[in-house]
Amino acid sequence: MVTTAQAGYLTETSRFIDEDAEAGIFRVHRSAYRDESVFTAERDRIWGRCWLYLGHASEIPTPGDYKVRTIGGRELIFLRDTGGRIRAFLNSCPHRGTAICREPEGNAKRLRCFYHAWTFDTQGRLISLPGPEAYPTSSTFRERLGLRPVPQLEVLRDFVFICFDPDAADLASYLGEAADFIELVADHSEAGMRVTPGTQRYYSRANWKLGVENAMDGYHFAPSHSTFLDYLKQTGFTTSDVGGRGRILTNGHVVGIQNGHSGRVGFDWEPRFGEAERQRIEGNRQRLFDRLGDERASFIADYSRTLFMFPNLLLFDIEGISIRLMEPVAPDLTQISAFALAPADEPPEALDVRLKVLASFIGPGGLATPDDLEAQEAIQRAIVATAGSTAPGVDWNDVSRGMATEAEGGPLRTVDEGRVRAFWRHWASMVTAPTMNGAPR
Amino acid sequence: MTSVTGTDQRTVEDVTRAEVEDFLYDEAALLSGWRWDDWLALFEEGARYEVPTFDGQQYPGSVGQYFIADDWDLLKARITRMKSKNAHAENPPSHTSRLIGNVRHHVDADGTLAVQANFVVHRMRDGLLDPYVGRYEHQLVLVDGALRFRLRRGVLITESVRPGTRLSFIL
Repeated sequence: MVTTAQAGYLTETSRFIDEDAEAGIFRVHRSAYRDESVFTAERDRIWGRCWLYLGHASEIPTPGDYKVRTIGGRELIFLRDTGGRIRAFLNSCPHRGTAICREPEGNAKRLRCFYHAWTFDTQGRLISLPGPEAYPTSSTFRERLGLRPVPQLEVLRDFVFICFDPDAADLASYLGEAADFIELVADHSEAGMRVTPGTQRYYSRANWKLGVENAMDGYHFAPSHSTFLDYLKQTGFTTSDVGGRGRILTNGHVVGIQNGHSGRVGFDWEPRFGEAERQRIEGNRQRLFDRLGDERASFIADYSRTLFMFPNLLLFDIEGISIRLMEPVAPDLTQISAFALAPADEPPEALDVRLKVLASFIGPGGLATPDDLEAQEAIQRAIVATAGSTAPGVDWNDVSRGMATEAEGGPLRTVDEGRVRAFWRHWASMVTAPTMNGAPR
Repeated sequence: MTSVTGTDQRTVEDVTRAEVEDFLYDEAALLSGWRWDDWLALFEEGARYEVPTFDGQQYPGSVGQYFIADDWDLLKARITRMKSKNAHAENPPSHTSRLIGNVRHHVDADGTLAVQANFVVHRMRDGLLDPYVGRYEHQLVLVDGALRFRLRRGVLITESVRPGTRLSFIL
């Protein structure tokens, strides 16, 4: 049974966030990373209500192509139907619940459950089943037992989003200004963008929110990634997070923008890209500027961006483009899928450079991401130590960096924690807000 | 490069499975002993180190996204990093136990020695033991009569890198 105390626990934002602007205090209670009850509430109140990134249309280019992907704890069939339309179904037979697609990907004209051979078309309609004479002949029987679609699905420039809440407002109003940071990526090439084969799928033994914090915190870059910076220096290049600016968007979305601090494959040369890429960049930039005009083209080519779309997408538009999908498995376990996005018409030599540059930094085998994972896992292990402490401030994380200067109207620097605070404010408002399905838990 | 010096006419055709096995076992001992410079000496200049993703393994690293796609510069940088106290993911370092079996080899059309073997690498860190299961698909050559990597490729058979996640050690 849910006790009153527990219900109160998840209805007060002050249980998780302690903010005092005047004193420059912003603290997050560590139970937010640890507690099963928080995880359960997130499933309902965040993953059950927000728009979520599902995948990129280029992953399923041909009618009948599908991928099985778990989002918000639900296994889904992400599919392009035989008419070319993108759909998402729950991967569970409406008959007795069996997983219908048991391969991670494939191409199918029809989807057949192996258990009793119920067969569905790619629009989700039940089209045949053995021994139909034992069932009603009415059409409503078959209509009732079609594949269960995800209630809402929308596509923005090939980025596919879903929402499990049938009553949620549309994608455009959910994304707000975040949509443009997705469109900037889609604008890299007139030929469109495509996800390359090969998913970096791995796990972090840490809460998903530590992954968000990590990506929105430029403060850690220099101390955590000095060995990566050493490697860059050895290739004849230096970079830093100094000068980066953050922007706080609506609905918990935040972005970090850097000017000229990292190379960009196709747009901004670094020695390790090689001489051929230097020459290609000249023509590539010219085409971009001709197509989009100076302002937008410069914003694409000369700046890098990291967008966090609340709650499950990190879009790194940096040296290369990495789409990072976060899927919480447990309070202390997160599955991460990282996809490399490239211009559909990128020449093979340039794609080679892009994939090498991406893998040098990101992913569980890169020269940098492993240290991020180490930090997140070291936090998850260590914050057990303060659990249950009622001494003032002990079971809290400090997220106050930059509050004083921001209060005085100073810039939102990526090396401060302003974006992390914006994330937490939104998170707390969502996780403590009653939902239609069960308010309060 | 295949080197033929003096009366030594030895080519990769002459390499026995026992020699290949010894090479792999000795390499495993170097890795488990964190002897990075000695390990790097097992590569010919310009060699590569690869760990493909599960759904990218049928593509070359120039087309599909890999976990690790090190060219020679990046491989050397990886070893420099490995020796640094600032390689936080490997400080303290992982302890590994490496079992290698089912070793097969043949000479490829390009004159390299193609070696396949199964591996189970147990990695101990943070008080946790994680198994990494897969196969090696190496390309070896003879340099001054000694076996050397041209390509060192480890392919995991798992769809994802399971918890204990980081490939910050050498697979």
